[in-house]
Amino acid sequence: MNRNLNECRYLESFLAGKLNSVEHESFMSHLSICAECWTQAESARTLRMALEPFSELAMPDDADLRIRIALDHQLRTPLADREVMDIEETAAFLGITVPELVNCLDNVPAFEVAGRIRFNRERLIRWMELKERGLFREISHDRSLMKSNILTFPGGLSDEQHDEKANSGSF
Amino acid sequence: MRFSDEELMVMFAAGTTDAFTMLYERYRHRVFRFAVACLGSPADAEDAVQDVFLRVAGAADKYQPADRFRSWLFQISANRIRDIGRNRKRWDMRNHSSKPLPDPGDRGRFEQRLVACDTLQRLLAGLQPEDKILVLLKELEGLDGLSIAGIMGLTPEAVRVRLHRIRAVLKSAGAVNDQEVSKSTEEGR
Repeated sequence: MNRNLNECRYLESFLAGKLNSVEHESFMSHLSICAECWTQAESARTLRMALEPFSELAMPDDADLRIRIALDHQLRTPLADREVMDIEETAAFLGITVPELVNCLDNVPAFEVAGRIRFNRERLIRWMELKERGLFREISHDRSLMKSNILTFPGGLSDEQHDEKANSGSF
Repeated sequence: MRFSDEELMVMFAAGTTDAFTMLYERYRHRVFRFAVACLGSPADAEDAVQDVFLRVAGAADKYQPADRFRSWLFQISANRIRDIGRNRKRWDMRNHSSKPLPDPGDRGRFEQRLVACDTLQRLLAGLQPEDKILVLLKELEGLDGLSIAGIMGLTPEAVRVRLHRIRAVLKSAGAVNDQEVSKSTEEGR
């Protein structure tokens, strides 16, 4: 029994063709008595037979040409000049990670083509400008709250005091 | 002089675009075969090849020369194939038909050759996408357990256990296929 289990350990080496002739012969004897290894070996053989037609399968010439053109375009066009970007390029463009971009996809201008998400650089720039204005509005809103002393921190400066100090060169 | 894959990748990262062309020529058919076997569709596989090499080109600065190029390439390929598989599922759910093949000439002959691969698709139909990728990295690409473990984010032991389980599933699928073939042969008589 133990011997049988020990022999089972050679299954992967057998399938990879890494056993020498003596070991190979020994494992063949093992296969005749071990149903588990037999199933594994038989399954691997079936799969390899099914994969045989793939060994000579080559990409069609027209697809090859299309891909070469796309690669050539990519290699010649720096990222900064590309108008349509994929998700990784867009994440790099925005200075965030891909998962972070995926999490906020609902808020970022994007379009789908052939089942893939793409981003138009110009629209992204416009969107960022709008976001900046929105952010300025929020900041302005916060400042107006500070002016009304609702958010004035003890010992802190009001906007007027801050501006005066800046103008007098005290900073 | 023949440069190694890793040397070519370093040369490409340093600005030699011809090095990238050589890598493309070395691996385009292999990535294509892997993608066809995983996805079962030559049109999707072509998209995968294009995306994979575009990503390789875009990520050249992230490539670590200590890593084997082939493992890195097939890690990118596996990721892209997962994405395409997920997108296709989403499109299938929206009742879109799969992309038609445009040219009936060479394409037609190409498709005829692929019909011979139906057996593989029937055989792999019962596998989860991750298992399909794993077993094809092993049996089609011939990668060892350690490389597959790196690509799939598993331990070598987990790869061995999963291969064992996958083969058990494939054995059942193979038996069903054999029965179907013999049944259709008998009906044809």
